[in-house]
Amino acid sequence: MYLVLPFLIPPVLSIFNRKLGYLSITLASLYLLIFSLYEYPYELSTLFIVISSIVWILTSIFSIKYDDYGNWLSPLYSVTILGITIILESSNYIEFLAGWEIMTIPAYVAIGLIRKEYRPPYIFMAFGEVSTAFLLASFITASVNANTTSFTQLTSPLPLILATIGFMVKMGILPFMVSEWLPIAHGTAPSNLSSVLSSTMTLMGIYGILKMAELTTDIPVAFSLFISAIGAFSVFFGSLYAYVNENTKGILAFSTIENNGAILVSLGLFMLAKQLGISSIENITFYTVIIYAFAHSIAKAGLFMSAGAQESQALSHTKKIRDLYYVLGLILLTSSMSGLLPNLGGVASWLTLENLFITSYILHSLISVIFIAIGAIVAMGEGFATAALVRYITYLSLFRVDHKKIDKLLSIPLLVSGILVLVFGSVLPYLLYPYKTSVPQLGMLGDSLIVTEYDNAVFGAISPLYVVLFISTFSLVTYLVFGKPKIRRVKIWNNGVNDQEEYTAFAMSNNIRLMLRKILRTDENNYLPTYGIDIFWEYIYKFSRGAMNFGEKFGRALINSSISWYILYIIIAIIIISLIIVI
Amino acid sequence: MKYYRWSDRGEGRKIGKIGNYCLYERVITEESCEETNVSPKVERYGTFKFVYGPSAGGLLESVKFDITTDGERIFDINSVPYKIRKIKVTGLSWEDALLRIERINAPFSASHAIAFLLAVEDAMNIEPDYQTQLRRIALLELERIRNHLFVIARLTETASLSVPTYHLLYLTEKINRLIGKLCGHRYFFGVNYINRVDCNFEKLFEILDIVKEFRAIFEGLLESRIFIDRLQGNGILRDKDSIGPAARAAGLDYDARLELNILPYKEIGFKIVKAEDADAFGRFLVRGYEIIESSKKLIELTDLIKDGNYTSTKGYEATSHEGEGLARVESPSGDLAYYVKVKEGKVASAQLLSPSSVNIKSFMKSVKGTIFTDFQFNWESFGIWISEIGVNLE
Amino acid sequence: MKNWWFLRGVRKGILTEKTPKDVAEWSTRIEGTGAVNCPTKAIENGKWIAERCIFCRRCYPNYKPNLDYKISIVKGTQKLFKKSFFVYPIDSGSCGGCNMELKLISSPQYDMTRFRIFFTNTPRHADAIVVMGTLTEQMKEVIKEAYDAMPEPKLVVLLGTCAISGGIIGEAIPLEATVLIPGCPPNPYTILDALIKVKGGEK
Repeated sequence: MYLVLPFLIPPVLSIFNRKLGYLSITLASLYLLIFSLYEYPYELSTLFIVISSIVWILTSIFSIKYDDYGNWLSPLYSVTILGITIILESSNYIEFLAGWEIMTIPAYVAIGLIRKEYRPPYIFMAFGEVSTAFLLASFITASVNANTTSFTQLTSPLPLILATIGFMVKMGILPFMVSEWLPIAHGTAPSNLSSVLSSTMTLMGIYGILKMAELTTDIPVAFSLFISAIGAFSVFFGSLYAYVNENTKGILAFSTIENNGAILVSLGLFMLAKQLGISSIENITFYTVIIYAFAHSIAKAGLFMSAGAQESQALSHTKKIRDLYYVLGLILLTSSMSGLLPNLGGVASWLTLENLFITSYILHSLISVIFIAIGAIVAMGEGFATAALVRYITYLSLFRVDHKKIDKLLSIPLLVSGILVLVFGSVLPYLLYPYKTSVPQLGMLGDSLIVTEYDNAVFGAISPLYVVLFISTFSLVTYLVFGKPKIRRVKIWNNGVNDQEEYTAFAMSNNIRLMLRKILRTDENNYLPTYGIDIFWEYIYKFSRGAMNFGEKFGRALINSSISWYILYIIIAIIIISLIIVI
Repeated sequence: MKYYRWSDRGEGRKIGKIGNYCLYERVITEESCEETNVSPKVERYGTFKFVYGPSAGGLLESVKFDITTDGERIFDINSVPYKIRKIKVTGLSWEDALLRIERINAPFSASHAIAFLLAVEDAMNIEPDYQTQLRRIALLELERIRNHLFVIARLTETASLSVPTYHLLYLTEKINRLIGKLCGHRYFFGVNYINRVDCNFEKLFEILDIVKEFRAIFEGLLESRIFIDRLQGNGILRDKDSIGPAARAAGLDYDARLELNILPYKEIGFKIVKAEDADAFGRFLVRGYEIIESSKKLIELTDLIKDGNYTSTKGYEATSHEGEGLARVESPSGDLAYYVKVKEGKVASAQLLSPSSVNIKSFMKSVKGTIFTDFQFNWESFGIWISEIGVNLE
Repeated sequence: MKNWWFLRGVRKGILTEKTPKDVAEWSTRIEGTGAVNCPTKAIENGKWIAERCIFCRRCYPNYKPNLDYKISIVKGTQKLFKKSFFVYPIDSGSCGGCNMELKLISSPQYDMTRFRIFFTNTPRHADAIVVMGTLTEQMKEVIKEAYDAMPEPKLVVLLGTCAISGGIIGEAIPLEATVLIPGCPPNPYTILDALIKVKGGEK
């Protein structure tokens, strides 16, 4: 727990000097990274600490130049990171819950700072607290069953089920997608805060589910299937909403939902394999989750930095930046998020779909149909995700040139995240993944081929390192033989006149918006770029309005003062109590 | 001015702008022609400007369209004619001016020439010759049939129905050849004079074969669902300021052949053709039925027109060499009017109201809210010729 | 059954003509004697200059048309286009007559495609640019752009008296042309004959 202490300094420092605050976070994260790798290299939490600290280092360096928002951003940023560190370093349920609450404060504050719409933020916060309620119930059940609040083996699946639902509400899984996009797209969360929320806060949900699943011995099969199915639908709907969204940060928020859904699919398979005792699948899916988490968090941090370098949040009004590091970083990041080898995201996508194939093959029964269906939905979603990212990179950088250069401190963290994603694609599976082999006939030496196997028989294989070497050698050979490519520019024929028009991002996705208008419920006449479209949110909103009206009437009968202040008082009380318990 | 009078305010339906004046059904006023139903510009998110023309494959002439769209729907449109010609007619004799007037727009050449000559005859107070008037009606109706065939051929070409397109082009060429045989020139150049029409109408009955073939195609097109689907609901225009087939397609009783008594249409029993759908389909229907109606009138004219040595140069009695004249005829796409001032036997000024200048405004109103694939059908259904719009008579 | 177009087309038969029929006389060669007052000075010393004639008939009856429609001037041939000749029409300031006559060479009687002549929608795929009408201010730039956008080898065809010499309306088009097709408007037979000649074939 002592590793948390360095993280208590930044919130205080950032109230006085922003840049010092960010610098102190960078140093604290570096310290955490090195120390955890040195002292506890084999724990589950170490893997997540590595991911989180890398994200924090990059984002904080970015924030040094990026932040000109006022004094409130830096402290909020530090508090979120403090909360996440507490979670990662926790050794019992109470510490976990405390860290969880501290982590979510800045998200609430970011929304609360809007003055225009009053009701939706409060409903969002209410749902956030529903998540906490589920977690509380789960931890209480677990502690009572095991007679201790520390993390020990659990025999009943009930804590797992309750905790998973609580984590899912927070992670932005269907139908609670609003938890993810509201603070980022609708709220005033600037890019560095959004980056931390999207990359690392949702990471904690994954960490929580994985930890609980490891501790539970008996998981019902129906539950794991349910998790996988919900994950698949999140992939599809998340990427669909990402494609038609016009808010640069909204696109990324929905993309996070999509990736979390894919991770959830693998988590469901992990629980299934654990229950059925198939150890090879259990191992493979475990590492799939880890690799996917690595790929997503690092790439998402980079992408939020790219959105932060833009001035406008509306995708059809952005200025396209062609700074070399920016473009290079963006290309590497978007190709990773689209699931292309040799990036880490490609390895992760391949592993996810391979797992579904293997599981459906092994089971050889009617249940296999479910996995095929899940795989199909995931693949459809990945298609939309690729399209959404192509649209994103086109209108942020590649289409027509407006700016040439941006500040180094803004573009270098982006490039580093892209390079990390590329390098990790070859290195990480080699370090972590258990099943490897080599095929000397094809030139793949030294265990560089990663395989999926069942019962010691190989099912499928890829080698990202091979792909990298292949691409670079052939490009080099072509360049040496043919020299620099000769380019000839011609004037564009546009009906004989010199008008330069530009096809907007809105028009690019408009065909899907119109074709799928029954699902998306687009209103052609009143489209606003910051509008978060999500029909699930509309239904939840209607439902909670009803609940709220009922609650108001009930409350007024009991208590005579303002309801909203009362709720706020309860939230603050919980947070203070959690802090007191921790310290 | 026998057919028109000056007034302070407009009376009857408004036709359009002629020079610096505004022309109505029976009067001409000095007030400016106000635009009605002008919708305000709407700023929408995510729209961009799309340029169509001036030099594009689908357009027959040079006009530039600036279309504001969000990728599917047309929200706003602006048109710029790219061929502006200055044609000098002041100070010329009416024969020399006529040479140029004919060449303002060749497909409507008979309407232009006849309207101009009627205005000049009106200004110089010349007694109209009955046979000449009958022959002028024949020319106008032949021109009408030829133009309507061409418009329908353009519509079927846009719908990619190859057989009717080529069959209609065949008929267009056939009627062009008939006009060439009757009048010596396929576009009536050098045919019209004061009180004289230099054509031999012996073979006028050959129009029957052409229209019979057309009728078969027309009935086939009316049963073609894929063709009608592209036209129905496309470019709906219910505007009391519209003219020609566009107005008649909306059920309005607008036709210069019935309103003025310059040419003896009433004697040959002319019936107006209307439709109820005010969309591209209605305009297509009106044109199709007008072809059939015009052919019936031409057959009546074969009996009335006396041939023979009539076309010898008959002189004309001009009772005055100074005055102003205003005449309006029904061209294939709507009302066409000339306002001419004559001084000492020469043209002092000439002003033109071309149907295309009114139709293009109607077109731009009707295209708002349609989608890109509808554009070509809507444009062709109006039968607009840019050469009439971009001409300045001085 | 009425809209079974394929059957109707087959039943109608072949409408393409092998020999010219029904040529309108005032679009063909004019010959005669005597002095007349031609408004465009197309008759000088008893000789008729096709490039200036607008067929107004003022020279009648001293000068008469003789139904010879081959009045176009072809200054060179490009055999490369013999099997495939794509034409891009551009309208500079015409009255609409040349546009319509050019469109009509695709009608079944003339059937330009049997001579491997086609229309294209963009100058980038065009072998020849057909310019119609007088030169107008705004179209100067457009014609230049279209001409520059065409790939080599390219031909320029001036269609109509207005494009060649300005006719009675305005200025001529200042481009170096391989084919001049006079007429007001030119007969489709004249147009077809000129296009066939320039791509190296005889009808």
